[in-house]
Amino acid sequence: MAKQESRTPVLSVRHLKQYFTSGRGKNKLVIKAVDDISFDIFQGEVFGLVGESGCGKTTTGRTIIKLYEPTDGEVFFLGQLISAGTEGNKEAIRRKKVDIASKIKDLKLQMKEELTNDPEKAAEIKSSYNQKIGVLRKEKSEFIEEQKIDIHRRKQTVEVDYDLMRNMQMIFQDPIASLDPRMTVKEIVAEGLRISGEKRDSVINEKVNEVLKTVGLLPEHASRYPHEFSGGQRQRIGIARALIVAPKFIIADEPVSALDVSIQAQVINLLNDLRKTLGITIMFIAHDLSVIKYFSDRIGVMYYGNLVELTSAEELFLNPLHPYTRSLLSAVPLPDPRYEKKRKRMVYRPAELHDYKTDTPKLHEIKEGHFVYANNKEIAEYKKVLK
Amino acid sequence: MSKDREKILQVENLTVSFRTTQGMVRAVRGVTFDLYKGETLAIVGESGSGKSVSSRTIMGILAPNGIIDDGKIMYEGQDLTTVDEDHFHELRGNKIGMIFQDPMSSLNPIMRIGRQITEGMLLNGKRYKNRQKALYAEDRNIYKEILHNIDQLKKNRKKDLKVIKEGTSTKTVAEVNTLFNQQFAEKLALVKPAKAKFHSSKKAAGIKAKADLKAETERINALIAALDKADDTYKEKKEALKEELRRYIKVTKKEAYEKALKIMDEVGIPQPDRRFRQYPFQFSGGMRQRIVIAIALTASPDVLICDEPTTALDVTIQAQILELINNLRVERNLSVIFITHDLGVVANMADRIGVMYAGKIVEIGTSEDIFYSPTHPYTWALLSSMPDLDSKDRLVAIPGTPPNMLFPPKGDAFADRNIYAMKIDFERQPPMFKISETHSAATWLLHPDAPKVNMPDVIKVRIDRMLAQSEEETV
Repeated sequence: MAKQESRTPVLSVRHLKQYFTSGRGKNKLVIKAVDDISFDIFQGEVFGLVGESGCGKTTTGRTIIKLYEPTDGEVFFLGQLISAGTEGNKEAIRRKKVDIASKIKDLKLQMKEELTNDPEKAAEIKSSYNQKIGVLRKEKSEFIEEQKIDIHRRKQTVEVDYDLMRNMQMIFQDPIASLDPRMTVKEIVAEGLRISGEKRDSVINEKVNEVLKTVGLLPEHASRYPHEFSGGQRQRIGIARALIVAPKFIIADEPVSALDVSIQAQVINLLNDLRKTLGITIMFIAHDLSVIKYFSDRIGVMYYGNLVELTSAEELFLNPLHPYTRSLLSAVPLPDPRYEKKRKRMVYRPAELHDYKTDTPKLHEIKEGHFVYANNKEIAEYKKVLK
Repeated sequence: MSKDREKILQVENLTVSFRTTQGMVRAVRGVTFDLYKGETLAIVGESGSGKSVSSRTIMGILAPNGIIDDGKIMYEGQDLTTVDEDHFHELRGNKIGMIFQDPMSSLNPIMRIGRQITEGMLLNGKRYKNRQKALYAEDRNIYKEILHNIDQLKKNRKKDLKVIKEGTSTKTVAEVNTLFNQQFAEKLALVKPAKAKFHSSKKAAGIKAKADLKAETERINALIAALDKADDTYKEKKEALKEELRRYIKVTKKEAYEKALKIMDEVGIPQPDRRFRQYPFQFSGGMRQRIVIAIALTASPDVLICDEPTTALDVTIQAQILELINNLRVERNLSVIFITHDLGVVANMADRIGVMYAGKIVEIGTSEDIFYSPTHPYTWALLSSMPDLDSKDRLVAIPGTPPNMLFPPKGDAFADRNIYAMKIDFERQPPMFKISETHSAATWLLHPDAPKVNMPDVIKVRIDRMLAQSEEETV
């Protein structure tokens, strides 16, 4: 962790927001699935994202790989802006418009009060006020122009270079639903390669066979259909599909949650080997803490759209600071009956624990590489705990 | 686990197959276990190991193509495998409750949850009819038993004749037929008097029930007449008495509502009166599972079967639901069968654990036996394949996949994936070897002639650490 500055981030997420809206007018409901999160993922590491269902961890993954358009914030991949939301700019424009309008209104009212019956003086006052209003209007239009340029810049990310994006691939949770039952394994695995422009059958065959071997399947499996495979083998096909375009970064969205315990270990071992031999950076989304502890270098804990704690795996389990992290850790069941009999579960009640009315919290680096979401008062408390 | 504890459910050599187009799938191949009163028995295994099928057989909700080939399920002195559907209604839900895996698909999405909770109470709450039934139940059972025996005789003859046709029996056709005729005549003589007795007692029961109802009505009416009409609370008192009469006949909606609120409160649903009128989609996953538990509890069952109740939930909610089930077990003195594929969950819940593989229980013992001194290679593999919070080395994955139960292996089903497998494992199935009073396992490694094999180092290290830790804390 110490050499963090020298490491290059593969992926940087800055103030990412993803809101979903439903209904219109009075019924309009805004769900803040991801609400302003920022983090970096460095070359060659496994970044774990953990949280209960509905906390926005899958949405984060899907927004990063551009399955959703973000509401606001920016995502940089290999140093390039790949996805950005414009809602922030639009909001700024809206606010500016209201602000300027109210200022103009005030000026006009002031002018009316100052106007006297003297026609000469009236004209003078009028012209001076008109000048002031003109300045404000110009300021507004300039601001809007500025924001529009920024919006344009952000919108250009919609059509990002394919050659860059193929370096990012995803492995999905459900190995049954994520494979097309009417395609053979070869077609499924080769699809990405074909889309990237490879037309020669001999190359495709060779690459498919190679990647199937990498994930522990046999070349003769290529002509079979997904239903002929067991759960663990299907997940291997999903991994092969992600690997064929030689990506630098993989988002694994709960790749083992739907698998049996004995198969889970096979898939985790495979991912671990791939990461060591191919040097792939992985973002690992899961809700099983023992798996994520075993597999990740750094872990981010999410709670209702916010990143509440972010640190290395050992540090998180050694010094959990945020009460939500602690409650999560206290809920992990272990294969040890005597320990289990004594285990006390902590319950996280945000309304009782935090007072964020006056002092708003933000992600704060409390120790090198250890970030926690807290306000000033809590930071002081956490610092005491760390000592 | 003392021996003198009351056994509430005994499963003996249960064998279940499914008829499919490809052939018979041997889902459960001779499962034997006892469930004691007030304990939690966990059954752990991979998907397809037959754990759900066993529990469904106990509930009598096997799919139509499922056949019970052999075995007994003894509950309150009767064999559940022979109980007919008419009679099973009285057991299912009332005596043996079940909680299903997916709380979304086990609730009706277009029915208010209040109605779903009270449904069973209202349907089973025909008190007048039930009392009447109870009066002639004994005679009815005798009659049904005789009919069942006759059926059995016919079936047995058919089986014997078939065997003779194949030429593998020493008996002759004539022998079988004479034996059958003799037994058949014996039983047939019993049918008529039993039937007559059944009908007469049914009639008597009807008359008695009617008379009872009349007496009760008169009693209540007299009470109502005796009320002081000038009293302010006259109307309420009268209504209460009328309600009492209604409750004599059946469980009223009001009664069911009150009971439902109580149970909803018990399983930890806040504001039950408001929640009563909501639909399942308005609840979160954990709350939905609580409702499923509430429904199972309405009839106050003795045995609760939980079929992977937390698999669809995440860690914090899972912990809540496990705590709830544990508390309910203690409060209501329930016996719980807890089915799961996650050994971690089980350590907290179970008194005893049975590990299932390919339709058989391969190891059974108290949770300390299973976690601190596992003996079956499959249990070793399960334990070493899951990371705990301290593991850093490469995980020991179980190679291969479970066997296809269309063609169950001749020897030990786990032999193919077992690095400790011996020659005999591929040829003969191992019997259950007893290790201690509570602990037994089915593996040839326990045979006196087998080479000495120690458990893998991964688990050994882990168990030593766990034991050291717990000793440290007690000191």
